[in-house]
Amino acid sequence: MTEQEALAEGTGFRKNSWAAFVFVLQFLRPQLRRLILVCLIDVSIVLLNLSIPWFGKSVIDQVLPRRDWNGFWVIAVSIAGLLLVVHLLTGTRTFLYNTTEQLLQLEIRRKMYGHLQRLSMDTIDALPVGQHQFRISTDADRIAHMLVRILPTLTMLFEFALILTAAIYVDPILTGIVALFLIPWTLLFIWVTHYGRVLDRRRLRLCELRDAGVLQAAYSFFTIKSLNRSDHEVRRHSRISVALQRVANQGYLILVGFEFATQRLIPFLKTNTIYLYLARMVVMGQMTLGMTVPMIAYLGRLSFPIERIVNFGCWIWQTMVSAERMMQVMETQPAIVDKLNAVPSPVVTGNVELRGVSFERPRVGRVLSNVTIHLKPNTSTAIVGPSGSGKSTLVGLALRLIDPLEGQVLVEGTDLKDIKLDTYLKQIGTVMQDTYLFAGSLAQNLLIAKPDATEEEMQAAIDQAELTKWVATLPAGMYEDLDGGSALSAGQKQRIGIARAMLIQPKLLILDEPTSALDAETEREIMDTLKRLAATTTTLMVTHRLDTIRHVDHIVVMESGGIREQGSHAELVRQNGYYANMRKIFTGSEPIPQQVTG
Amino acid sequence: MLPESSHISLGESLRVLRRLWGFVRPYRGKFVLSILLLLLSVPLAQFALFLTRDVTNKALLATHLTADERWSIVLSIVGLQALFYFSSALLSTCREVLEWYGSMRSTFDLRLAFYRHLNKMPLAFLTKRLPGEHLFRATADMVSVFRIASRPAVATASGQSAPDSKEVAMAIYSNDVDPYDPGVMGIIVRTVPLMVETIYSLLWGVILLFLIDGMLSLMLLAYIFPFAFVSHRLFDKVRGSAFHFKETAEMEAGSLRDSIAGLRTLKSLGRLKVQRKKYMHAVANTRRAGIKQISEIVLVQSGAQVGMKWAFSICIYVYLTSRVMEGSATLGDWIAALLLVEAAQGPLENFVQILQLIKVQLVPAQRILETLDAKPTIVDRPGAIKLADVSGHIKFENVEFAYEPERPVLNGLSFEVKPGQYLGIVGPSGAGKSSVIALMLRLYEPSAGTVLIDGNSVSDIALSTFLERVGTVPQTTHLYTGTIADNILFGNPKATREDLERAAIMSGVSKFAIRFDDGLGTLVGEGASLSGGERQRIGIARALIRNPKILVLDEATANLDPETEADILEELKALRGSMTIISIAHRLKAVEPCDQVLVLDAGRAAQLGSHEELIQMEGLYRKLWALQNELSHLEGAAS
Repeated sequence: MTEQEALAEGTGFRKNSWAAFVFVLQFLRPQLRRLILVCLIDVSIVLLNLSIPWFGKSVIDQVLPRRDWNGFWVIAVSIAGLLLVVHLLTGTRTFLYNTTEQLLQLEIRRKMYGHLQRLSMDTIDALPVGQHQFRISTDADRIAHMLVRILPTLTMLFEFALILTAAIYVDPILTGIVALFLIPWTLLFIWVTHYGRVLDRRRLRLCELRDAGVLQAAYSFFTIKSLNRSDHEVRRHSRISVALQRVANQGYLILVGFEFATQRLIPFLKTNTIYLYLARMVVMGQMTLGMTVPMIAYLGRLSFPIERIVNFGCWIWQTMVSAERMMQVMETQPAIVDKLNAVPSPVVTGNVELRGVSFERPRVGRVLSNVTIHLKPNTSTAIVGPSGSGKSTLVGLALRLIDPLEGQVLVEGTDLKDIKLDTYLKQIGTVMQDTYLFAGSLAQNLLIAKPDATEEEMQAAIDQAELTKWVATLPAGMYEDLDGGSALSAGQKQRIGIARAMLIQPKLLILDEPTSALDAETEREIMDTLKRLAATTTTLMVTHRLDTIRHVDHIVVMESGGIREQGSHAELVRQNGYYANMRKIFTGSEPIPQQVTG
Repeated sequence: MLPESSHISLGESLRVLRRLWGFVRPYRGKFVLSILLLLLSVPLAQFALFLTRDVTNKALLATHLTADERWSIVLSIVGLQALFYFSSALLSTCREVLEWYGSMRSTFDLRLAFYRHLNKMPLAFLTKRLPGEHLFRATADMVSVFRIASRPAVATASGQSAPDSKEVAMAIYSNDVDPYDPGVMGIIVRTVPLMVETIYSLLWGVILLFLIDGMLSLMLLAYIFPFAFVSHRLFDKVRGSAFHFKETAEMEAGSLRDSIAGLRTLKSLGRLKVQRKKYMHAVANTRRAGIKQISEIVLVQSGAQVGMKWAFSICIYVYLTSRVMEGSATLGDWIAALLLVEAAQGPLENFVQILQLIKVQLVPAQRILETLDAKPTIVDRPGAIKLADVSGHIKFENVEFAYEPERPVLNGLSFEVKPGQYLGIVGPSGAGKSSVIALMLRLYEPSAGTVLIDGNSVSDIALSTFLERVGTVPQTTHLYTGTIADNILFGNPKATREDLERAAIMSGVSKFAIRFDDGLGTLVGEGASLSGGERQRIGIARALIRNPKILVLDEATANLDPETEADILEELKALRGSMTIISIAHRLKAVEPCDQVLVLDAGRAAQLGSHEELIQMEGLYRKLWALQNELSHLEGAAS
């Protein structure tokens, strides 16, 4: 399925769980040898554990009545040895099993992350960051947890068969009676899992509602306080909490009832039946006292593997939701990949042409139709127009974040689709609407753009972005941890974005609304900096602020996906068209035309 | 590796426990009853085990009796055992329900108290980098990871949050992740009964073993203390590696957040590989820490704990067997003693875990109480004036104010707004424009001077009676998940349908809502596709539906494109006269229609007058005006 289709499907997309299960099984293959070893250890532990009660039998039946000291020491040493081996094996197994799970987690993350990185921004932006994070971390862990359990759980079938055979061999009637107790247990378990899932879903929905409320409150304290809605907010929170509590209570009472039945009542009945039966056999002389030890041990263990298997079977379907989500991501084909025969990018001088490009967005329709813009080396171009006119789509095309539906993007005369994308992008400086600051210091943030930059190069970029003074105030200078930029102003962040763009000394600078998040004063300061830098490079700037572009060589006015007018500032003012009119509204140097109020 | 705060002094621990007990107190009856049931159920179960001796000795091995006699003895003793077992199980279940009820209710109370308290705190507490904010962000952050219901800003805003605050969030919200986990209240409602149960059942174990053989109970007693001590020490060590694992996991999460939230940047820089390497490095680190933690657990549990247990069992076994062979103990003693010793192992392991549990939970508990104990500084004074109505008269008298003492924002600001007046406030950034609003709404308190509303100081007024008559539109309107109508009604949930429609028309919301199939019933929320102008219109409708006497616009049109801004300003003109309007703006365009414009400079009133007057006057306003129109002058020169 194509990326666009997946996007259109949105989060509602679901394939059947079986396909998802088969899909995630591929991760199991590299771990198969480790897991088979785990299963082998499991089998040996079971065999050893099953042999231990027989020693108890011979102690009671032979050693103690006969006061056989030699036999006693033999048995004591054997049991000690066996237990030692069992503990060593258990330790090894735990280590091996968990290591395998960690390796699975690693592998799933690697696959999903690599794939996600290649998807287009449209696909990424369709979901909140938290949801992608959830998929790569929590979903991956759940899938790993499920995968690692499959084989050991199947091994339990072997354990069950073994115990059953042994128990039937010793006493088929009692074994039959004990096996009957499994029936009510299984039925109860399946019912509770089913009903529990219904309750769980309701509980999670309420949780989501409440947490979304808390989250929104955290981001709108000013609104809440200034509109005097604090009490209202607390009441709403408490109302949802009460409902949540009610659902949790219901769930708890069912769980208590279930646990009483399965962990207390049924074992109680079962144990008493076994005891009475065995006592009767001993009293009637049909069984030695010692024989009760292995019987009790075996019959007590009989239900254990079955419980685990049923438990796993009920639980596995919950994991399938994660597997389905994962498959959905992995089956979304990245729309933009380098061709096999892609060539390294020519040296970019700034000769970039968007030739007759069109673009469509799902659910929105055509956002660009047949637009041609030619950037010439060492000139500056500005694209203006109201929101939704297709300005940012043009930037997306120039950076190949998207491919045009029709038309071409030509870099120095070569189609961008034939170029190895990163060799092209590494020559271009970009400043976006908001600069995203990565964890770490200013230097670490700069090095993202050029991992092998020297300190001198970074200092030069800092100077160009006019951050020198600010950096001097930081205790560790450019190596000071910025803590994700939480304490920085929007202007400082944009300057860091500029420094990041300048680090590679680009011949082409692309600015996508670089000042739209700033107040007017900061905006002017940043624009002054950019103006200075733009003098030596080719520049493409997108903006909706008309007062910042008077100086550029070429202005393109966009409107609903097409070019409405273009030319230099002076030409456009002379034409007295849309651009001239908008400028008047903005600067207010002439009266506001009355029709605007309409 | 352990954070220093995990070492809490004994006095502090007791204080925390006392405070938490305050939340359990209302349910103490049930709590005490549950402990009483516990005292009954433990010996019953142990007696049942003890009776195995009599079944063995008096019936199974009593070869001198007939089979029928032996069978009837079996029936009576096993019957007694069954009775003991069953009543013990029943009592335990009742006890668990009681215990759970107490924990659930007290956690609920704690959580609500916490949320209520947070809402009472002044804005400064909530928005500055204080524990409260940290905590709230952390909650939000945790929610985003667990509940998938967040927007990107959450992740980036909190950055690398401190692990401690995440623990706090976990502690308060943990019983949603696992609804049956009592979270921080567990220190009391779970630990205390567990402690009682452990000590009490060990005690009964010692007593019953004493009835079989005094030496056995001595052996058990001798085993308890070294076992508890060694395991406790070992668990401390494991906890170190658990913290390390958590740390690496957080680094990994941070790196993942960077990868996704910063993906556009990485893509446009052509540097996907760099970040992928970084992330995979973080992932591998976490796995390594995870494997290290597991190995330590395996070593501690299999190596030391199970080893000790195993050595102890062998000792008991050898001792008992030799006693039987000497003839000083019966086979029944042998079986019952082994069963009792086995039964004592469980409580012993519990004991070690309780100590660990308390250690882990004390830190978040302390943090929660820290926030709960912070005093709300802005509260109505006793006997505050309840305003029946607000005329809209506002007066600032020599008001001084500073967010941080060393950087004053307002320096003796005085001005007056008459009812129905449309006042604009302008000035360079940092002149104190937004502080004027914050002080007027009493989100902060002035350090000197008075803010008067209808002649009363705002700190003498019952704040909510005043705020109910004020509508505020911030720079960006926060949209709550819900319909457009819900979002408007947030301003006044009691409003009628007519009020709603009137506000929608007045604010221009109806103009764009009409395009949607569901009109005002269209679902919106963070990240929904409304333009900035549309959001601001909802903000205005939200303010207008309150039927305000004072309308406050805080840079309400600053982020809009010129066309939309002009549109909204025109609509606001229609409201003038019917209410006092205060409009704060950076761009002078936005205050042009005002009756009066107040020009702020360095926290003082520099100029006052209408736009036309101010433009004629020499001063800051004209300077700003010239600056913002610089282009038009230059343009004249260029062309």
